[in-house]
Amino acid sequence: MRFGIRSIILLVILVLMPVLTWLWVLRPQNSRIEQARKDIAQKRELLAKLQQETARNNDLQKANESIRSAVFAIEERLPNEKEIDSVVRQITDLAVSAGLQSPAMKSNKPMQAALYKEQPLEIAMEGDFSGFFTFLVNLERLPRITRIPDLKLRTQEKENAELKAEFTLSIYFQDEERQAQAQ
Amino acid sequence: MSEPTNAAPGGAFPGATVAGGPGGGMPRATLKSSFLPADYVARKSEQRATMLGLGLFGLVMLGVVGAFLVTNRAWTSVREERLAVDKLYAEEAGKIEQLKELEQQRAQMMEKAEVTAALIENVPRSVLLGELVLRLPEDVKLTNMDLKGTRIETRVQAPPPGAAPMQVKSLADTKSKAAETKPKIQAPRFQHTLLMQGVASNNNDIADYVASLRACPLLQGVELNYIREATIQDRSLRQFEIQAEIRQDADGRALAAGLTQRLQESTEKAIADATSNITLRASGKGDPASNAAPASTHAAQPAPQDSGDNR
Repeated sequence: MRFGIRSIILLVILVLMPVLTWLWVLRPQNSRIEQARKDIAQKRELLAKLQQETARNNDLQKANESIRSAVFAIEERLPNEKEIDSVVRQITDLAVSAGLQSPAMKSNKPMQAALYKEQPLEIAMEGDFSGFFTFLVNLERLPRITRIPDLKLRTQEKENAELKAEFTLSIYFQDEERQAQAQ
Repeated sequence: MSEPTNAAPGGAFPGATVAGGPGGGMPRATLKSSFLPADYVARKSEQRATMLGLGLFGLVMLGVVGAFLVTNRAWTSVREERLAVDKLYAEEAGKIEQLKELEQQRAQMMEKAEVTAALIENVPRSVLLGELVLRLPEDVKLTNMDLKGTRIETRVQAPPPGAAPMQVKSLADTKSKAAETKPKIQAPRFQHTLLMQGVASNNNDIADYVASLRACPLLQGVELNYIREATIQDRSLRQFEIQAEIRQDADGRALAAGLTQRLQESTEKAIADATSNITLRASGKGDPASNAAPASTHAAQPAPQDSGDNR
């Protein structure tokens, strides 16, 4: 078999074809693939971290819900207004039903208590210890939030009134203006 | 006839060679190629070469195209993978936004919850009174009790570095910056001081009461201010004053559950004691002096007259 020009050209073409394809097509493509794979690996690594971070979302959402419901439960016990009239009625009823004398009351100036308003009431009542204790227990069971920051108990020599109690009862109510500001 | 030796006898094809064999006779002929005409053979040879060339070309092309297809397929799969990762990335970016919002929401809610929860007294006064009364020794009686609450004014301080909870933040997060600059609403806080005065028949009972109050989980800083001699209804007694503070971290509600039962038991015991005293007195066997002593758990004894300091 003789090798002519044609055969040589063919041979050259046959050799050049894969070489040029490798140089101009496959190598750049492979390098792009390699680069893309590196990017993907990097992104996956970052993604894993993000997923780890965002996995808390559900827990956080649940925690927020539980906090919101707890706050709501407390705020439900805070009326929109002072409702002094109903407080006076309730306290008198509680005192009388606990065997105490009808209490004397004095309303002080309302003050700001963070997001809410506080209305202090100075109350004085007489009776026996068990009656006063029952009164306190029932007062704490009232649906609205109350607080007794000051309390004075004095024993005395009176029939049917062995004890005199003087205390400040703070009642709380919503301050919508302040809440709107806070939000 | 003299013909060239390379011509096959009987009209052999040109180019055919005949080799003489040993012993003469018909020489063993070796044909140069075949009996086919030379131009035919040449054409055939050329055709074969062409076919071989084409075959090789096809093979190379197949290899090249195959390699291209394989690479292309790899690229397509990588591109799809990258798209999928980008999609996941976008989803996670959305979740990160959500996380930021949730954390901001949580911070606000915690602040509000702290403020709101501070409204509820951690030590219900009934529980406090119950504890004070139930811990009274038999011969000790309280005459006065003062509970004074002082509002604690807390100043807003910048949190120390690293104290803030980890939050996802971006540089362009203007919302959280605005939230940071907003002054924090402080929960109302109180400090409660308790001052108790009472009487007892002897100092040991007072010491027992102080020790018992020190063990009370609601109180701290329990101190005995004084013990004085006092005369009540012509009877010499020991008057005392105890000071204490209510713990800020006390959980009075946890104690409330057992308190009712303890109070009931105490009341039953007091009733039983009173009944037995009455029975003894009726039969004339009781000691009248012991009946005058403060035995009840209730703070119902009249205030005694002071007769000097006896710390």
